[in-house]
Amino acid sequence: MMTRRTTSGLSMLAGTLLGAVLMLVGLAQAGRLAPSRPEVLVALAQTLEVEHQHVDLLLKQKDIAGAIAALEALRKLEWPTRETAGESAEQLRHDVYGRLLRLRLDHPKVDPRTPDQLAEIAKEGLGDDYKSLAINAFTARMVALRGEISELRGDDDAALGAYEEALTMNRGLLQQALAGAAP
Amino acid sequence: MTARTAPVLWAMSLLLASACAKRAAHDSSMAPGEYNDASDDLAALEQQLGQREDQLQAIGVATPPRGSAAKTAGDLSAGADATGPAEAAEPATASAPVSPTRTPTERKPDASGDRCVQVCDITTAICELEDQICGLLPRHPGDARYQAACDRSNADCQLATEACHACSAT
Repeated sequence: MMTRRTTSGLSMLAGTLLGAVLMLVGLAQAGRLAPSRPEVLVALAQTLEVEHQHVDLLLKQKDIAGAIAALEALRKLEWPTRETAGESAEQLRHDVYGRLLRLRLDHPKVDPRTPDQLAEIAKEGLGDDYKSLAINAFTARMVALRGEISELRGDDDAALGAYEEALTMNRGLLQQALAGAAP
Repeated sequence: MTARTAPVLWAMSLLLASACAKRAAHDSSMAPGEYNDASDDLAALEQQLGQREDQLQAIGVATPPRGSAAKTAGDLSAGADATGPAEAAEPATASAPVSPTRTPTERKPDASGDRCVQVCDITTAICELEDQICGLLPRHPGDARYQAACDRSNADCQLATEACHACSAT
């Protein structure tokens, strides 16, 4: 009797522990836990902030090619993973890639890229797991840009899908803003 | 947001917000003849960027070599010259983010005006998407999916515009 009760208690404890571990793993995979190296996120944000100022200045000087080159150089950055620097690092990456693609789409004659190459940049920037990110304006913009690129490739169905996806994200952002909780 | 991430996010928010404010102040005060000063600024920014990249490298994040970026920029500039001034002109809104702030973290608006700017910026993004979605319609006449998407985006744009106006009026 005692043995059965002990076994039952141990099973319950093991189940609880397993549940907790699975929950932690799930949260970590979703990037919702604290980044393992928050200093990487801070350093990344500082670097990008200066780089955005650099790009602003180049654009003010009408140096579109220089601005594109500066943003292209950021593609070579070894972007930290969500596990290392959290979701914010991915959103910062979407901001950079979104700015690059906007410039490339608005200035197609500067260092031209084919629609397929633009699609490759968009795919690289968005990453495989962008749908699990918390709703944010930078990812929404990237998805809308992917729609524009799909149009350039002549794939209207994919374009419509991307625009609708971006619209859904913006709808969510609007609800959050109206509720006073927009990111 | 956990207690551990909160300080990082706030530090980043404050850092970026103050930098954006500085950038905005600088942009608004810059006259067309001030490009010589701008090149000094550029040198200062490049120096600052070098320091930040050293910081990133110090904590183990690989960064692109600055020399190669500068070279590419030079090469591209040559190409841009051939495109003429019309191509070189940057539309005022081309690089503007959809959101009023570059801070992608959990920044809470601390003033109703701030929130209103956010609402109206999101409205702009929604109505731009409406233009893009409905712009596909002429190529797909009679396609119910395209028509329904256009109708829905139209309703979204109207709703968002009303929210923006209501917010601005208060």
